[in-house]
Amino acid sequence: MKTMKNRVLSGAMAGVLAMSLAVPAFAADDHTTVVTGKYQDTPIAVTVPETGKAFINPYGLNIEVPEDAEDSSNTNKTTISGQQIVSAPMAIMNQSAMDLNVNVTVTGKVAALSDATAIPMKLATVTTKGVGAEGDDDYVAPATAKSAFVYLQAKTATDTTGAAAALATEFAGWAASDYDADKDIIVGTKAATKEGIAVLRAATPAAGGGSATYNAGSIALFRLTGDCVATPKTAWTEEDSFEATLAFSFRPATIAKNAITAAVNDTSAGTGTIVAAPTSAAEGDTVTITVSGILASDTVAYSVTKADGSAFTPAITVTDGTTTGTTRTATFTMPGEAVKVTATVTA
Amino acid sequence: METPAETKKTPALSNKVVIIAATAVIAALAIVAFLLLSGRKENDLGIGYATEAKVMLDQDSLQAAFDEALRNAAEGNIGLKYKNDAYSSNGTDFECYIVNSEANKYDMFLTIYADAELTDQIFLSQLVPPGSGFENITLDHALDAGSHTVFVALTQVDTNEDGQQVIKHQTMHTMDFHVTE
Repeated sequence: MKTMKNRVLSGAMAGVLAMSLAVPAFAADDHTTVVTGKYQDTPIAVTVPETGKAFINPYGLNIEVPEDAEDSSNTNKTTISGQQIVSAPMAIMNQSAMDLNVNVTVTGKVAALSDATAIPMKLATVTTKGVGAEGDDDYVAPATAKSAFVYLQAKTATDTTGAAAALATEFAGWAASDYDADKDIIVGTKAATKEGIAVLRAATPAAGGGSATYNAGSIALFRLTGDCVATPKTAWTEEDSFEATLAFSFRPATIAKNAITAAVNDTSAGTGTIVAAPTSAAEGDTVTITVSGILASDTVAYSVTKADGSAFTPAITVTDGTTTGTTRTATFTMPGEAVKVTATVTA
Repeated sequence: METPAETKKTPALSNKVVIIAATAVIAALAIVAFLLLSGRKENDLGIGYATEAKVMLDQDSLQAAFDEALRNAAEGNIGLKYKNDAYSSNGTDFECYIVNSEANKYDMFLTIYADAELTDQIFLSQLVPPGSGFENITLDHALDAGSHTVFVALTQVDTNEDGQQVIKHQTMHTMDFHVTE
């Protein structure tokens, strides 16, 4: 069996040979694809991170993440504290107009040590911190061997700019969270696949092939995280390491959306109109309310109820946007069912 | 590997010119091969499709390594553009759609493996500039009838300030290859 490096080097060699050929199957100025009956699927267009770096940080040392690594005058920093497995920021960004499910296949590998008699680290299958209390049937004692419990986690980014600095800051502020079998995937020496580790909401593609405009949920953050034995029986050395190969796959996602109806109760001039956009939305989407045709002196109050008019508990918060003039705006976050939006306009 | 269109020979070339040209091409390939095979990847990231995690036991080393990783991550995004499914009636010749996204800055080559452990390489491409790609590929060996999840490794190549070719970024995604009976 070829080693990983040899395989990659053989790939590199092929690349070298290719430079003298450099004749792809179709040219840069000809993007036309013949669509046959077999090709019903739409091209996937996403931006993924390159293979990056992660760190085993047995002592949970602090890591400072600058708000903008390219701007030395900006000294604002976020501190990653106490995390024993830390990776560089990884983000996947949807460049297409369709929602996408993200699946990932993860394969781990522990590096061999130069001293063949030395004991290498292990990739643990459960937390190294122990499970349950001593005496319980399912009790697992804390590990003492040189081992790390590593898993891949994802979360939807709140950022919609896609800017590296903004994503790094959000990544740094991502609080540590325990392994969740429903959401996370453990890095082991056998390949494992997690379907639906994230959903990328549709973006607004740019004309001409540039970067898309991201909408809420178009970007997901990923990280390798976990724990390890801080002071194992066999001490950590700087030679200890593991690799995690991540292979992402993307499939169009079907996301349930619920209707939004809107009405205006205008007790002032009686000419106000209301528009909620979009007219149907998935849970977590931001809905914008626009009330127009009112007097500049009017006051507008909003309420979001269930479709039958009954109240949500707790009530849905509506955040004011434009609060003056003859057109007013506000936003709210869509719950998991149909809603009715009412704007009450008073003189 | 895909074969480029065959070029017509020019009978007027003398043997001497042919030899000189061939020598120049071989020399150029040897130089580039040395640079790539010597494992040069810009920013000293090493070659590999995997995220590598090393033990860091002191604050300064950890912070320095993270700072470097942060800088690399900032410019390490790779645009993917492809269709999930590729089809073949003989297990070797596939209709597909894999493009080096026009949003990318670098040429890339593809390496496709039939297994997650990356032991069974079934395709190795030529360099593909941004905006170009493949609609048909021929595998090194046939896949059996049925559907197969394959692992598509993308390697971007750049020319550094010294004019040397270096591996810039790498990433991996999967596709489904279907072989009909």
